[in-house]
Amino acid sequence: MRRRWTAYEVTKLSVLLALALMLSILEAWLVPKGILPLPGLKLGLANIALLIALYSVGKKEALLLSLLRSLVVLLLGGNFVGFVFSVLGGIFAVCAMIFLSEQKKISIYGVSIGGAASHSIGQILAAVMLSRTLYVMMYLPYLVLLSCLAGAMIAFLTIPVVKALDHIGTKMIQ
Amino acid sequence: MPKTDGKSNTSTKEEKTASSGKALPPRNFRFSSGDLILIIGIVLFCAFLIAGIFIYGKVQEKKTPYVRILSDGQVLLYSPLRDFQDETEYFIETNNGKVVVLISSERAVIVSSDCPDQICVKQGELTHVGQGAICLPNKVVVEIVPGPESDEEQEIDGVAR
Repeated sequence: MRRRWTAYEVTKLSVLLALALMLSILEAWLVPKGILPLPGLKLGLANIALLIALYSVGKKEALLLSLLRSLVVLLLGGNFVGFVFSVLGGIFAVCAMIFLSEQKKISIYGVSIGGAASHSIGQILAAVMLSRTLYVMMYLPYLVLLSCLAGAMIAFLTIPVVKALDHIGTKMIQ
Repeated sequence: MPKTDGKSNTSTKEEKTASSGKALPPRNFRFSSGDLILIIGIVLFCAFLIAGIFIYGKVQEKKTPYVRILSDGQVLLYSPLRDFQDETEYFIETNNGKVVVLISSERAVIVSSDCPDQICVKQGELTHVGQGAICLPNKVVVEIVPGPESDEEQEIDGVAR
């Protein structure tokens, strides 16, 4: 990486991380586990923080945010299995999002939807590796499709935040 | 410290680039044609997968069903469903918990498990080759798989010496 981070940069990332964690908790509270027969299907609200990081802070920060979030959730009371899912899904998602965000023809909706789909693909890969069968692949299509819907919603929720941060301008977010 | 340069509050992307040294993604906030292409691509990909899985299932159904139970990748049980004329309960103990599987000549079911989400129990009955249920927290997999031999194998009635 580049030179040492300033306190300001560290704080920015920390705030986003806290936001992501808070959103995870909110999501867990809103949706009781097992409401759908499809395992691993989530609202993905924490990806709002990820999108904000990508659009208003930077690509490296977004990647770090994804990794840190998985790590912190593990430290806070996980679940090593959950960690593997989280990391794989997260890495797939962030890489896809970084790639998609640079495409001129793709809007934030596309970025989020592509990210959600990649997240699901990464999770299914983790499930295949952990269960050592290919059976989980059966879920892949449905999981991907449903996660795209979630992705669209996440983009919709993030747009006002990114716009507001843009509006505040260089004074706050460099 | 944030640089205050006395200019107006509205920022342009150029300012951001200059001060931060990296460019932020373009601000497309409207649903665009590129998005649609992406979505159609994803949908097609999924449709392709579903079709492939469906065809695979149809092919597999023709074979004699064997039930196979895996715990953490280790095969615990692998025998034809035919063999289970009486209903048998299998108690599987793993590091994370217990799973109970009921097997009869017609089906295999995960009857109970102590995992938090109970998805495996909700999977229901497994009757055809290719069906399966897994308990991810316990790493238990119950599947109906084709037997090692093909359908054309003849059973040996006896050996003449």
